[in-house]
Amino acid sequence: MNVNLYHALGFAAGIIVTLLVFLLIRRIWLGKWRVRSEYDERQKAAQGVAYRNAFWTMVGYMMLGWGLNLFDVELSTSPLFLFVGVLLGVLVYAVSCILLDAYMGLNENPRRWVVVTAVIAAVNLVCALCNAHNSAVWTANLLCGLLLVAVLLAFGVRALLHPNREEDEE
Amino acid sequence: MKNLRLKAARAAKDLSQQALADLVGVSRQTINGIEKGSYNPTIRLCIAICKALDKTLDELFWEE
Repeated sequence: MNVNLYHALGFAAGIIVTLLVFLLIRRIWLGKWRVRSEYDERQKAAQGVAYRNAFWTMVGYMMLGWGLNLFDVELSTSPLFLFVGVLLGVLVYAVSCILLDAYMGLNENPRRWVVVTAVIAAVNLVCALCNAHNSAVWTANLLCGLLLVAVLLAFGVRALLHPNREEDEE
Repeated sequence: MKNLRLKAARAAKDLSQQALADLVGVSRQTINGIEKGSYNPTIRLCIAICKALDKTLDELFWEE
């Protein structure tokens, strides 16, 4: 087997193990605190708009990659290009939802969400720093960390623009 | 278009936007959007709001 195949198998095994550990922790440990998000009709409609924004962003991104192929810039086939495309879609979806006030469910605690997201972002950025010698791990952690930081910034901007006043009327 | 009748009916019941939102199971921003006219609610939500405020659909949402 060549190195690429080993790499792909290792990648797949990592994802499977992570999923299994996540499901195990959620079932055993976090089960009693698990909160199922509830969204009202306006939020669901806004999530549709956010999904559309993310979809067209990814289409535009892929078109850009294919367009660059015409100039012999082989980006669209690189795993990093595809990974960045997925992250870009997630970012657009999350930021759109946040700005449209459709990210947090009715029964969710924004403070807890911000703390958990900040911790995950910090872990990713620290992992990126610790794995600076391994470009694949470094890039993945760095991009995920930056994505989460951008989401947190969007949340902060939203909070600054629309503080949760009782009556924020014109 | 702003829905001033909804705002007035809510104020008459001495309810805040959050209190009305909790009564009908939506977010405060949704109630705010309806009052400001930036969100067009479904008939189901309109009915829930009317029941919470003891009003009819005509009284709150019918435009002359």
